[in-house]
Amino acid sequence: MHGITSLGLLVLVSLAACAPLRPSPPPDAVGTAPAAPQETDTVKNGTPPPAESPAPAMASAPNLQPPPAGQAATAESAPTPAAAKPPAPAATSSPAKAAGAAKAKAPSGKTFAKTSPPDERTAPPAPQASVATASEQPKAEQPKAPPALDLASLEQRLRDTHAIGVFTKLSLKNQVDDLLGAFRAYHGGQDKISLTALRQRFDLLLLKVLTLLQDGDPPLASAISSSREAIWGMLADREKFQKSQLG
Amino acid sequence: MHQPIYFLALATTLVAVTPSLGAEGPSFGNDLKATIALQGMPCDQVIQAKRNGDSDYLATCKDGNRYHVFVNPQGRVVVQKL
Repeated sequence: MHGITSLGLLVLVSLAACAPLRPSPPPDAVGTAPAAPQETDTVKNGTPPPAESPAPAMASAPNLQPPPAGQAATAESAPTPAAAKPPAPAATSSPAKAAGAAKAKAPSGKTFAKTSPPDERTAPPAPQASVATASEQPKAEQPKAPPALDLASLEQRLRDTHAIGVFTKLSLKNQVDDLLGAFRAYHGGQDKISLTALRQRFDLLLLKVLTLLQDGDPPLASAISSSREAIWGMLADREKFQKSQLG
Repeated sequence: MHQPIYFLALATTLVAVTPSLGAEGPSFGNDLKATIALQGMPCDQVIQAKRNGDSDYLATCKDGNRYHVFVNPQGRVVVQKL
């Protein structure tokens, strides 16, 4: 008796242990299954129609030339399960051709009708693409531009930072003033200091500032470090130096 | 009897500690150390700072070096090794 009950319990336990394993495939299968069949249906429905009856599709929907590209995309993306999500946009284009998918046809037809006139079907997509590329180009060019130098902001941030003590700030200000005096002398032709020597002094002073700031105020240290060349460009160029209030 | 004394000691401790906790910047010893280092003079750590007057201090470093750090009438920070 006990043997039978224990055997039954073992069977129940084994079934219970295997139970969580069974549902796991179904979620994936359920998640993919509905989408996959639809995709396959749309692909199946989409691929044959263009080959079989492009004329009826053209007649039913005014914008049918764009879909072929979408169909090709769906046909390419359909085999891979990862492309299960992308089919949605592709489905909008393919259903227009396919007669089976009524849901997808309506949105696609609406969008095409809104975006493009019935006769000129290929023209609208081209302008959209050109606009998209034109908007992308400026974005790509913007990062290339050097950051604007806000010397006043940096100076104010240096004054306000708590990473440097009062004595240290005053000492740094003295050294900055000394360096600015050397640049004035250089641009005025009063001193025979070479630009290389000035660059060394500039780098040394900036190194001191960064050393003092890197632990206590890393954002300011980063801002100053990124503005190094801009500051040097302003100091080294006579016109820029004189135009600024430093000269 | 001893409770008032404890409270007084606690209050004194809090008053003494609060300024150091509120100060976000470096300690004055670190400020003096950085000032001395900016002048190119060695000082690993300031262990004592004696105030002589406004912006006038006598700093003693852990390595035994002593410096007179002050602001001269021209507004420049001067560090003199003693």
